[in-house]
Amino acid sequence: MASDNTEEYDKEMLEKKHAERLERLALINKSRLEEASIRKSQAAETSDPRESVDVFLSAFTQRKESVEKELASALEKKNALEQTLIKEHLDSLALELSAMEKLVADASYFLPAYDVRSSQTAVLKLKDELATASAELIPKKKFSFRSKAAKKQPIPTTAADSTTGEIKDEKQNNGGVSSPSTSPVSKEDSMAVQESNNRERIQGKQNSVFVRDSDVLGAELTLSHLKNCRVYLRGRLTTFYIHGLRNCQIFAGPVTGSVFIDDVEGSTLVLASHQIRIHSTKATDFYLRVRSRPIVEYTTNVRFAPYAFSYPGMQEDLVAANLAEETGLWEKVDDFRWLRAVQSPNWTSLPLKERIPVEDGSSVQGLGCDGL
Amino acid sequence: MGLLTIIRKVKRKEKEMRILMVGLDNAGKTTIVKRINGEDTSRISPTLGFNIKTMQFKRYRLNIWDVGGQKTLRSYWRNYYEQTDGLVWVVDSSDTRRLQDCRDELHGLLKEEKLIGASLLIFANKQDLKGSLNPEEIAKVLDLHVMDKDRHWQILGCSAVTGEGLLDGFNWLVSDIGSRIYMLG
Repeated sequence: MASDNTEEYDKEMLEKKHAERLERLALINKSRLEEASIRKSQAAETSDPRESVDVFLSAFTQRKESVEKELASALEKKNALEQTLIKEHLDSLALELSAMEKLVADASYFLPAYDVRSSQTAVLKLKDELATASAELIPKKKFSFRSKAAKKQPIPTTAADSTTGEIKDEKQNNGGVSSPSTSPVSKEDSMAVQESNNRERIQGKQNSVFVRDSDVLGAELTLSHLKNCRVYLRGRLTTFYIHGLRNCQIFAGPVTGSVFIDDVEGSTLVLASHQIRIHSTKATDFYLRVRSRPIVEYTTNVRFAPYAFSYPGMQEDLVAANLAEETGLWEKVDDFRWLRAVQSPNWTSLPLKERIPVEDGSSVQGLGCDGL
Repeated sequence: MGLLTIIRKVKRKEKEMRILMVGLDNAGKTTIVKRINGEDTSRISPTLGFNIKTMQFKRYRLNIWDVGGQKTLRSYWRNYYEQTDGLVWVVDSSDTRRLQDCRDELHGLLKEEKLIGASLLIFANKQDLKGSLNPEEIAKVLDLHVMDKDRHWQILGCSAVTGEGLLDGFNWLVSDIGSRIYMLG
């Protein structure tokens, strides 16, 4: 009997437990449902009504239709209205269109791609229509002569550059590093090519012709601050610096190292070299034979053509300098201020008709060759 | 044995050095790199952007970053400063007109925080030209005596055309970096 009792008791306990558990589960479920509904209503409250695709589309269509209607009516009664009124009207339509454009842009992050695209095309189409309508409604002004305001001359920047360059040079001289024995301005008629610091120079000269003949190997040359000069360099150079030239013609034999050009204007340079760098140069023609790509930087309005110079023994010099073959690189110019795939506006290749003939330097006479 | 091999492997991997070559345009940076690597130096175009050369030198792997020196490119130098072990500043010793410019750029570079620990080798290049200043003169013009006391630096004359001085320079640079980083000397 005792066992029966205990069995019954166990059963009761089990049922009780079961009921309790069910009750608890129901409770949990209820609170879960409540929470969900709260969340739902909260979401509904907080969600931006503007973010609804349907809302956007209906608003957009409405505005679109109104613009279309206005345009059509404006076109209908084009003769009835005054010009100024029409213009105002069209301007307001244009404003509305740009507002719509912005609306599309703002909505683009939640709109499906298709709706974005179709809204954009709709706006574009309306803009087109507006443009044609305004062309029809507001005739363009008839052509008439007007006195133009005189254009201001732009301040030449290179002038400033060259002065700073000179200042720098002077500083160097004061420091006693490289002191050319004569200052560029004085002694116009004295020896033109001078050796200073083991470097030949022609500097600070005007309106002269210079000829330099050399079979000396390892010659280095600097041309600086020349105006209206012609320079013929027959023979080889190892390195060549050119800066501050105005309206000069330079004809040079092969350079086995590099040519460094800075601040040249209105000149013609005929050069053969392994490397050519052109800086801060304007309105200058280059006739080049070069073993690597020439480069330009801060340079405008320069033109390029193949090498055009000859003198007795030049071919041997070219061979010796490894510059006998035409590489075609004279027109493969890199503009460091124009790193794009399209052609730089700063340089062109010289049209055939405008190129100078090959300059024959065999019998030119000139100044300033003593001391070499 | 297993652990030892791993350590050895890691060590070997670590023996890399990042070397940055900078200096004004026309100084001869690319020519120096090509010369020590035994390449043709007669067809070098002015560097538009940068070149990377990896080479074995002594027990080290050198990653040499050769960055273009044109004025337009100098503002991009800073992109290469990170984790630089050695700095090679190349000077055109014959271009006396731009030495002040060269000095200003160098001193600007040395103020860079990312380069503070880097060993500095200054190559007074183009010593083959008669018009070149010698390394002592270059040192004077570049104001190298005002250099930070903690900086490991050295100036050497060289010629990328003849190859003279290049090995000495890289020997000094690599052993200086080596003694700093790997305590090997």
